[in-house]
Amino acid sequence: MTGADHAQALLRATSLVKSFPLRRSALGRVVESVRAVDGVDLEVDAGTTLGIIGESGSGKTTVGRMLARLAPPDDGRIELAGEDVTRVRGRELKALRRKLQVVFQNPYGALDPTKSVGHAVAEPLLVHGLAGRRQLRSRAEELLEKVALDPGLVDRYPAELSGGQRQRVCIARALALSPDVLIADEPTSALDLSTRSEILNLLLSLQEQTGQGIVLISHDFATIRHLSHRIAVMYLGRVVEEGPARTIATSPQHPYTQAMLSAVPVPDPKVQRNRQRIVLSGDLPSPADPPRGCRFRTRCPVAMEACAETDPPLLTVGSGHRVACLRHTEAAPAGGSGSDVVGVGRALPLVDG
Amino acid sequence: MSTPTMLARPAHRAEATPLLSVQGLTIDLEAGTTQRGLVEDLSFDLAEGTSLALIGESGCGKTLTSRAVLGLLPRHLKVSGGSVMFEGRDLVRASEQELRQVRGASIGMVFQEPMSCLDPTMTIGDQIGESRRLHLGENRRTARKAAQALLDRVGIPHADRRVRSYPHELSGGMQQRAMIAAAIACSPKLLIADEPTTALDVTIQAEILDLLRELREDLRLAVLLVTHDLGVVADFCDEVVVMYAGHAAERSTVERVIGSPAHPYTRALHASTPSGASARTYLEVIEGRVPAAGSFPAGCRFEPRCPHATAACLQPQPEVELPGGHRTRCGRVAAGELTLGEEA
Repeated sequence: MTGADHAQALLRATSLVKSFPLRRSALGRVVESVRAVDGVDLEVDAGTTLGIIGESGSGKTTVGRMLARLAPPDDGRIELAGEDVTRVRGRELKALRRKLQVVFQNPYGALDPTKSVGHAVAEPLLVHGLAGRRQLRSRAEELLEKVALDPGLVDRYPAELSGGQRQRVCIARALALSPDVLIADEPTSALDLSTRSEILNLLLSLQEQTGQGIVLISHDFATIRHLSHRIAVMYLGRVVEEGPARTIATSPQHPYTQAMLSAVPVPDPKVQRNRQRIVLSGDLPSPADPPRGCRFRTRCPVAMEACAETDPPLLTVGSGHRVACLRHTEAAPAGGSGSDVVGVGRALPLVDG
Repeated sequence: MSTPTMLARPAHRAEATPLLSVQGLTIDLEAGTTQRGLVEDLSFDLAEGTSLALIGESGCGKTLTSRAVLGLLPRHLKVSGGSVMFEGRDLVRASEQELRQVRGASIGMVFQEPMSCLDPTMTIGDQIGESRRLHLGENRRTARKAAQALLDRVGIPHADRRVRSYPHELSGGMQQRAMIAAAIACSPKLLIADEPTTALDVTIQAEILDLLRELREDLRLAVLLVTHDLGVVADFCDEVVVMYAGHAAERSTVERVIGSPAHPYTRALHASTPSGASARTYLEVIEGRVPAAGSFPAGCRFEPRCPHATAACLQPQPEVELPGGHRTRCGRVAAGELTLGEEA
C-alpha cells in the first residue's frame, strides 16, 4: 500500500479512524463528534522504532491507544505480524497483550501506590499464568535488573522511588511478558533532564537486546529524533509526512514539519539567533471542524487556492519518504532547512520544548 | 543608550545600577534547622531591557528564588540572608503593604499554567483591568478599554470581543498571551516569567517568546525567566544562572555558559541531552540523582555526582570570578585544573 518494501511489517495500521462524541441528543444519539484520528496508516518493523510526533490535538496519543488496543478504532485495520487484531476480544485479546505492551507518560499515575514494586513488575506474569506466586519474587528481581534497578527494590513502594526509578519500573512491567511491540507514549516527558537520558539509554539498549519494535509518541522532537528509525508527523488527525528519521530532520518537505522544526530552539545562542523561523499564522483549527481540503492550509505559509479544494494524499517523494502536500505535485516548497536542525555543526544538545 | 524614565523613579543608569540586584540571597525553612540554604548565597543582577534565565532541574531552587523576589515564599520558608534590591528598595525588608504596591505594578508575573492562574469566573478583560483599577485607580470602563488595547498589544485577534471572553474560551497560547497582557497592564519594569512556555506546543512557544522579545525591546522590560530548557535560554536570554541544589553552579552570559561552561554540572547537562548528531547512540548519564532539600552535601553540592570530584570538593566552594565576569562554584575550574570547553 505504501510502496515501501515492507513485505510483512511487525505492526501495521491501515486507515485508522477514531471519533469522540462531543454532544449527544436527548436520546443519547451523537449529534456532533471530533475525528481525532482520520485515516492514518503506519508501519513498524521488528527491531526498529517509529516515532510519532505532533502537537496537542494532533491525535498522536489516540493513535497509540488504538495500536495498543486500549481504544477500539471506528474504522481501519491493525495487524500484528500479519494477523488481524483489530477486533480481537476475550482470550485472543489477552494473548495479544502478551505481544504488545504500553509505557505511559506519567510514572506517578501508572503505578498502584498500594502495591509493592515487585508486585507491580511481576503482576503480568501472574495474570497470564506464566509464573506461580512462589517464583514471582525472583522473576521480579530479574526484571528489575534488566532495567538496571537494584533488585532490592522489590519490597519498596512507588512512593519511595524517584520519577526515573518509577519509569524504569513501568518499563520493567511492560517487559515482563517479553512483548514484540512496545508502545511508549511520552515516556520521558514527566522526567527531569538528567533522568531523561537514562530512560533513553535504557530503551535503546533494550531494543538492541530484544529486537522489539517500538512506537514512540512524543511532542518533543529531540527525543523522537534520538530514538527513531522512522518518523511520522501528525497534524489534526492525519499523518502529513513520514520517512526515515534523518531525512525528516534534515530535509522536511511538508510546510508544517518545516515550521515545527524551525520553532524548536537550538541550545546554542550563536546558531539559534541566526536561524530563520517559519511563522505559522493563527491557532490550530478545532478538530471538530477541520478545514476543507488540506487541513493545514489555514496556517500554511505557502497555501494555494487548490489547497482549499483538494485533500492531499500521502505521496512518495523520495526513498521511503511520503508527504501529503499539493506543493509537491507542483514545485518544491520554499524554505527547506537543509541541515539537521538538531545537529548543526557541532553536537548540539536539544532539550524538551 | 537608554533613557530611563525620570518620573517618580529614582534616577539610575542601566550600566551603573541594575534594575534588580539579588545579593547573597539565602532561603531557609522557617522552623527546622535541619538544613541551611534551600537557596544559598545566590547573587545576580538584571539590567533594564535585558533578560536573565534561572535554569535548572526540579528542586534546584529556581522557582523559590523567583518567588522570593516577589515576597511570595510559602509560609514555612523565609529569606534568612541577602537582599533583593529593586528600584532602590530592598524587597526582602519591605512590608507586605509595600510589596503589594510593587507586585503587579512595577513587577509583573507570568506563570506556567495559564489556566490555573486565570480566574475562570472572570472575563479576560476584567482580569487584565483588575490591576489597573487596583494600582492606577481607574474605573471599570477605563480599565476595560485599557484591557482591550493590551489584548491587541499581545497579539490577540478581535480584542474588542475577547475582553468579554472567559479563559476557557481561549486556546492555551491565547491564554498565555492574556496572562502576559495582565502582567504588563501597569507598565512594569520587570517581568518574572516562571516556565511561561513549558505547557505550550513548540510553534506556540516560539510565538510567545517572540512576543516577550518585542515587549522587552519596546517597553525596555527586564525579564527574569525561570526555565529548564537550554534552547529557550539560547533563544531569548542575555545572562544565565545555572542552578543546582540551591546554589548558582555558574553564571555568566548565555554565550559563555553554553559555549564554554565553567561547571561540570552544566557540561553534564549538555552531554546528557539528545542531539541530531547523537541519534541512536548512548547518552552520557549523570550518575546518582539530585539530592533532596535537607540532604544537600556540605561541600560542593554536585560533588557526589561529579566525575571530576576530588577530596578538595568536600569543602564548601565559594563563588569565584573568572576572567570576563564568568562566575563558578567549581573550585577545580577556578584553579585552572579543569577545562570543560567544547569536547567531541
